[in-house]
Amino acid sequence: MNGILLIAQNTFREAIRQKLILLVGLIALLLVFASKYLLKLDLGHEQLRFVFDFGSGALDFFGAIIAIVATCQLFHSELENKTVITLLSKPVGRLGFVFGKFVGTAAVLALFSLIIAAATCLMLFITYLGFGEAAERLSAGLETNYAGVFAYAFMQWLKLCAIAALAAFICSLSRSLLFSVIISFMALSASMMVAASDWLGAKANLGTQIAVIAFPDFQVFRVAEVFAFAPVSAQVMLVGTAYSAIYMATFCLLGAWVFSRREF
Amino acid sequence: MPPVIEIKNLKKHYRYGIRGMAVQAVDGISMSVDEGEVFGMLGPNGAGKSTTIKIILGLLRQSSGECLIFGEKLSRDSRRLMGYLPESPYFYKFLSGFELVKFYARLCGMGEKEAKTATMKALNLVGLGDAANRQVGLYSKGMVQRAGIAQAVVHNPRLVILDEPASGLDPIGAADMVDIIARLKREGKTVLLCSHMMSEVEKLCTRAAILNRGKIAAMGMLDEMLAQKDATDMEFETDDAEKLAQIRDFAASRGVSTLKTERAKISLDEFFRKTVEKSK
Repeated sequence: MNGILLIAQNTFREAIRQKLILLVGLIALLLVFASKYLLKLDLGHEQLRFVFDFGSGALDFFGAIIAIVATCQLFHSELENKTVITLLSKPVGRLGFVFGKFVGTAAVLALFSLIIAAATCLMLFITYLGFGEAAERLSAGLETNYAGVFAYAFMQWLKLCAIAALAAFICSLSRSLLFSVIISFMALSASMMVAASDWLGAKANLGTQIAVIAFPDFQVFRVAEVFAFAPVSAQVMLVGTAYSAIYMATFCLLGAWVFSRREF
Repeated sequence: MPPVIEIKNLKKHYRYGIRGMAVQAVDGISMSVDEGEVFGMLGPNGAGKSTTIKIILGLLRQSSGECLIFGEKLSRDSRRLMGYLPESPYFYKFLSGFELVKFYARLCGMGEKEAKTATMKALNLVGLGDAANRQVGLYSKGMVQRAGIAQAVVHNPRLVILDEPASGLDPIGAADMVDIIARLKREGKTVLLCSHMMSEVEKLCTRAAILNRGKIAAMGMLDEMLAQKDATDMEFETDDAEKLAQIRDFAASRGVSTLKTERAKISLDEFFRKTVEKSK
């Protein structure tokens, strides 16, 4: 356990120095801050919901990019730079290595989710203040649940962790960073398409049924969007946490098993 | 007491290509390394030295044969008793030398306080005490190599495995490396030294194995392996040609022929070091 935490700590320190990850995080943050000034693009939505949608979109889209890119980059940098050889000669174990890398990435994603959630809350607050005397009319009866925004960010973090675990599993199989990134994005697209076909009521064939089991259903986490303007549902939170934990544990254990068979 | 490393009929082949063609990297190696000795493993590139080391460390799986560490199969506990310096080591550039060595000390199960003390001791041993707070990314090749030794010995292991420790070092750095290994030997540590630098091995090792094409071509006590049959080297403290001629004549009168007479020389390595030290 100590080894996992040490590797995770080191992975986190390495990740926050990666320029690409910082850039993606910064773009996401700028997008959230720009939401108030893009209100003129609003096509009739409630203004507060419009601002929140920018925050949730940034968390969703850029979070997925960070989850995949950070996991693959941090995993493969150990292999390409051969630091993994020194690391595995210590009493760490392959399981410790895979879990350590995953926990480090999860910490980066937690920081990202927290910053975006805080920025979204700030923008919602500023937007509401800007309503002035017309607050009742412009807020269209919506009352921001700031704790709910953080609960939503937590659910999104769980989703991003499931994506990171999937990417870690792919990395344990692959020998190239590019291959890992491409396959991880393809897997993410596949799971989104499965969810979309399910939503559209398409008839599930055998391939779709397998995909439903293999890939996480992100709709489980999306329902938390309502928490921003409604009370937080403990049941939804618990289901999301359990669902994500199962995927994280499964993909990480599979990744560790594959990695344990690998030679250096 | 069981040998520190015991290898029995070790074989390793790699498969490559679609048809799974096999390349025999290690072909039936058997050897043992005893407690407290510095054992040299020599051989040309591709002889199977690094493959053997990686099997010892559990980074590769052998195709057949057995490899025992402290009389047992490799385990997490036996890893705690081992330190390893890989060939051309690469470390996390964003960490300082101190943070790097402490990170590895903690991975070996040391507590925070104990790790800090051990880290400073290891860095001082390799002469990096003054550069402890500098980022590894700013280290020279020699300093990285020294940091590599520090991380290998920080947890006070019984067995230290060094793969080309002097690779890329200048003669002064290489000489310092020899001093560090000699110090480990004096501390009673067992060292498996894999090197291309023969002078280094000659100075440090009591026994050595020469590998070629995955097999042991020669193994034994260095003194015995290097001793020439029917010939003895003598060194005289004179360069007087007349006196040397008299000695040659005397030897001839006793039926001993002189095979070679030449001016005694120091090695180029030693000459270089002395010159640089003098010019400081």
